[in-house]
Amino acid sequence: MEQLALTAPAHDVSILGLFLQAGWIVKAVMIGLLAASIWTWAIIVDKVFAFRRMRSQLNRFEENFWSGQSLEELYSTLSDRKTVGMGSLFVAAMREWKKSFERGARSPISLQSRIDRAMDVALVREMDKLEARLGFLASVGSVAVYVGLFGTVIGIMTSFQAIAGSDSTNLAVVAPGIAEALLATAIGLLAAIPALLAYNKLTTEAGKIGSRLEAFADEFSGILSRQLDERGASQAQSAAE
Amino acid sequence: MRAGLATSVTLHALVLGWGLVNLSAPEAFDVDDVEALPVELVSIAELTQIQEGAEDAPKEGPASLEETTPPEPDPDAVNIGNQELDQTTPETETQRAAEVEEARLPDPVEVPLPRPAPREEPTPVVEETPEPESTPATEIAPVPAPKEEVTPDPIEEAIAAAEPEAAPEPEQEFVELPSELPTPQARPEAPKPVETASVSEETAPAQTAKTPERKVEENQQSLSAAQTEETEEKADEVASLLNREQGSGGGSKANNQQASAGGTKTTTGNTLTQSEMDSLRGQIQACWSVPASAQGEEGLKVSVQFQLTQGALIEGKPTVTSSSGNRQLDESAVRAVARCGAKGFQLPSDKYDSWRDVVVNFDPSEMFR
Repeated sequence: MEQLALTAPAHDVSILGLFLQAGWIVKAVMIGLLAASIWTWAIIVDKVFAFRRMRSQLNRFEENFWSGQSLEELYSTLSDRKTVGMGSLFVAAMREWKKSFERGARSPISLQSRIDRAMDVALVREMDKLEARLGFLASVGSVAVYVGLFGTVIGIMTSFQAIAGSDSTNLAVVAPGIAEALLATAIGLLAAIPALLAYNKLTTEAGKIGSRLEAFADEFSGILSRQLDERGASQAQSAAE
Repeated sequence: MRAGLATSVTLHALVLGWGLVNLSAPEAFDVDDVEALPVELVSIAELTQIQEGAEDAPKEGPASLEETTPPEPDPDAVNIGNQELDQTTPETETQRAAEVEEARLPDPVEVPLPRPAPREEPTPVVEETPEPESTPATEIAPVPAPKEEVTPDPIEEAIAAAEPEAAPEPEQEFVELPSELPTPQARPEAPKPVETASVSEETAPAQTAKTPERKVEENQQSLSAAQTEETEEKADEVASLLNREQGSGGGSKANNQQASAGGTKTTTGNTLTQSEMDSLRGQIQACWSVPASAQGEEGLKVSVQFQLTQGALIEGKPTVTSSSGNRQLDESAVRAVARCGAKGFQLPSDKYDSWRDVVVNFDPSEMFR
């Protein structure tokens, strides 16, 4: 008797083979997730180094600041340089101070508040710079899973449609389509997990650096206000004499 | 940022490359070869439509296709009545003796059995037998033919002439009836009268050369004979007669024609199973491209008939047995069959009988369900 065997085509179940077999929607999802993953890691690498640089810069600046060097000298060395972190806070405050004295504004109370504001602005700018692109990590961490799931659902859907067309319920026919669809979720998780971890870590680090900057700003503001008060007192003295 | 991006891209490239190499297809499960049991629905016709072959079946059908080598035509008979001897040299004494020996071989037990039935009428009175040419026929026939005159049957005469001494030999054993034997017209059946001890009837064939009066006498005489001896003797006689009759054909079996095909072979009524028909349908469908003019049309049907060789290749041209009226559709169907047939179909070769002649109905509306 004649044997009529229906042979299922041999499927390539390697990762690349699965990717190439996928439908265009699933492919687009996978490619998008891969790009997100690449960008996520670029941000992570960038931020880790930026934060490390920032910390060492803060340490160096604090060393210089508390070394007994005069503020004028420090300012003259920093003003013509590109500064980050505490340096830029210091430069912003000193610039405001200098401008006020050069133009003869003598009210110490308004000067104090202006210096505070200038430092606040510099602080916000610094924090912005620190936390730039961390939002992307947060997005990837929460959304990539869903995007991958979307690709999986679409893949399984088309896979089942194909099965319905092929009149075969053999698992060998069903399996490659589902494996290919699940690859989308795998890539989504692969992008989301590091993004989420990095986001949490980097935001806490940014918070720490931010609080350090704020503490410095407060301290420096205190120093300046003491100076102002001392100056006001000496001027009042000389005026009385 | 650029450094970070470059690092990231390199990292991904590395990971992906590693993954493609090491995370390629996972090892396939090493499953024992547990094949799904193939179930096929088989028509019961294979069992219910078994046909016994018959020797005289009309020569039709493909069952026996092997070439039959026609036997050498026998040479013309020299002597009539014995196939083994009639074609060679004229008989010799030894040959005749051998023949008689042969005649005694058959089992005598069988012979008495058929007799009782026709033995009822001991009528030696009937005048004419139409044709007592074949001795067994006359024996079996209940009609006695005690002709007064010897029928001018050439064969019998020839037999009688050819072996006048064949008869005497058995008779010599029989002491009681030497009287009739010398008669030249008497056929070898001359001893028959003795057998009438049981029944008078079977003397009839033997009597073709005898007078009825003689027969009556013989009957009476035979009554005294021992029954067992008689039956044995009769068996020999009958057997010898039968043998002689068989040989009388000369070379008539020589035949240049093909042996009876189809009928003599015991065939089963095997039909294609549903899956085999589906397979054939699929094969033809793959070759069929429906012309645009017939697409979506309802009620167009073409029947195409074609013959297949045993190698499942098409034989001759497919013919349209029932046209759809759409010439393009007809042609497309014929083309489909011819194209597929040229490549050969996948069909079970042991069911050649059932797919030797195929009629395919093409219906374009079913094609696009």
